[in-house]
Amino acid sequence: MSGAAARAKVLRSKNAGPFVITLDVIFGTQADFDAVRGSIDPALIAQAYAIPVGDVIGIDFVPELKAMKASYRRRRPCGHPGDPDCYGMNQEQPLARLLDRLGG
Amino acid sequence: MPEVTIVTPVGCIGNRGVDSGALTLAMEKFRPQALAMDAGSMDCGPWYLGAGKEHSPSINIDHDLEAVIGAGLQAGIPVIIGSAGGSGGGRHVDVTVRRIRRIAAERGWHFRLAVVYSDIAQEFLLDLADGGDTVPGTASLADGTALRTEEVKQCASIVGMMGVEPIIDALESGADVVLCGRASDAAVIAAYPIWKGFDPGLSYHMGDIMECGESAAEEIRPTLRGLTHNRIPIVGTIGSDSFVLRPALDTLACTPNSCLMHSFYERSDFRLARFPGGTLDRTDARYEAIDENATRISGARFRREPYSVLLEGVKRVGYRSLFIFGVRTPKMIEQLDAILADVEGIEQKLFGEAGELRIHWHQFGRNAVLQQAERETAAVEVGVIADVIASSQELAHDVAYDLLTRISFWRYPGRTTTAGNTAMTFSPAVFDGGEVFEFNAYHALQIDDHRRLCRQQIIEI
Repeated sequence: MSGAAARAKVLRSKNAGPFVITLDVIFGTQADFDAVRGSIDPALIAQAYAIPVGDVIGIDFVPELKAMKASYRRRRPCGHPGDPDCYGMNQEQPLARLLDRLGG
Repeated sequence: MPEVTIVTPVGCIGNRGVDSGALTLAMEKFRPQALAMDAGSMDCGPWYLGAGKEHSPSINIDHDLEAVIGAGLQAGIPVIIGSAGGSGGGRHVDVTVRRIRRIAAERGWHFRLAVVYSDIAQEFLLDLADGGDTVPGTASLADGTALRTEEVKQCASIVGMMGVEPIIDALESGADVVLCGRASDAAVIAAYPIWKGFDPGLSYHMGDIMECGESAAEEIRPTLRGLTHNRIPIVGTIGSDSFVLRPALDTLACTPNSCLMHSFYERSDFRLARFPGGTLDRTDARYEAIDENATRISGARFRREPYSVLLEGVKRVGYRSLFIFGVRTPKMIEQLDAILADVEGIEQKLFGEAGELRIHWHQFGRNAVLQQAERETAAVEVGVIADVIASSQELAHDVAYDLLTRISFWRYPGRTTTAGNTAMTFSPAVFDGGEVFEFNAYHALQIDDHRRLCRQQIIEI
């Protein structure tokens, strides 16, 4: 990888309560932050995670940190039968693909 | 009192453990007025609350309880511990009380322990419902709907996440150690300063950053840590219009970025956070480095709202048996989804009358982690976990064993492996996992008085 995801300092996922997974990014460059901030929307997140757009809870930015947060409703609550990632710690790669596409 | 200093020795009691040397140093150097930390998390899933079991290793829990209570008694300051035993249910609190009694007896300690239970009896919620289908004043944090009495009746365990109020009651009673059932992590740290009259916005904000201990700090130079128990305490000092955070060791730093980033951690919203009695609003928070290791934080506000407590409840949905196998044959990998679906259908026919039954397949190497969101599906080998959940342990076990035999000898189109299809990983092949729980309550409950939910008990150790 050589895109925005590879340059990111933080690119992670985690539970935010049992029903929500939250995604955090600290971008590696101002250009990546600006490019993603200018183009990302809930529909793109929904597409990346194969979920309905209504399940994307929000996207927010902190310019001084070059940071982004997005959250979405889990397909299954944490630790329920069929949930593959109880803590939600390993759900960042669909976002990584999306950042590479948007950030260039 | 112009300032109050709180030390959070460890982000979670039993999770890797506090570095005792660093705690001693923090006590001597910063002379805190209280120690405060939590012992729990709901991230581990619903099982621990339902089963009444702790999740951290016993040896680490005992290490941390001994270290923090010992430090508090020596300094003559209160020690506040939230979400005892991991989930903060009655059984979790009781097992922690037994640990504390044993450690105190071994060390010859005598002190006043206030225990604050936060489990909620089904009858309490059913009385509120007064014969109706739902509990009035409840709203799901997942979808906004009210809590159904049908679900309350099925709950194996329900806890209410306490704010600062019951902890302040316990401090008022002169407790040396306050052991709480399920509690807001931030409230455990905010309780002491709010009790002493400090601003709730600043207090909750300080607690919300300190609650995971050194997670809010970064290591700026190599740190000499304990080999086994190695978490470094965080020190928070609150004044009238700001608070300052710094790690116990100067090889770590609480920077403006590390403090702000902690508001991202495990939270969907880094500006607003709900607590019993109000919302912490960090929109106007300011972060300013005051030296290499410390950051001064100000500007957060606490907006009062009708008092409400988050209910967490779980119900038992069955019993688990599972088995694990590998598939390396390309033709079988190509058809794996269809094969597993066909075999599952047979189990439903064979065992469906014996009880309720469901099977979840986890295909590691293929799409186990991302499921529908996976885009890469070319696998050389696949590790399959068959997760069988049935209405009894015996049924789950039998279904699992029948499944593995059928998969191993399934005649799929193009099959050449006529001596068997699968690499079975273990003998015995089937593992019985016991009870399975799901969340069935995750609701805010509006209530006029926290004392209707929490029960305090004083124990002279």
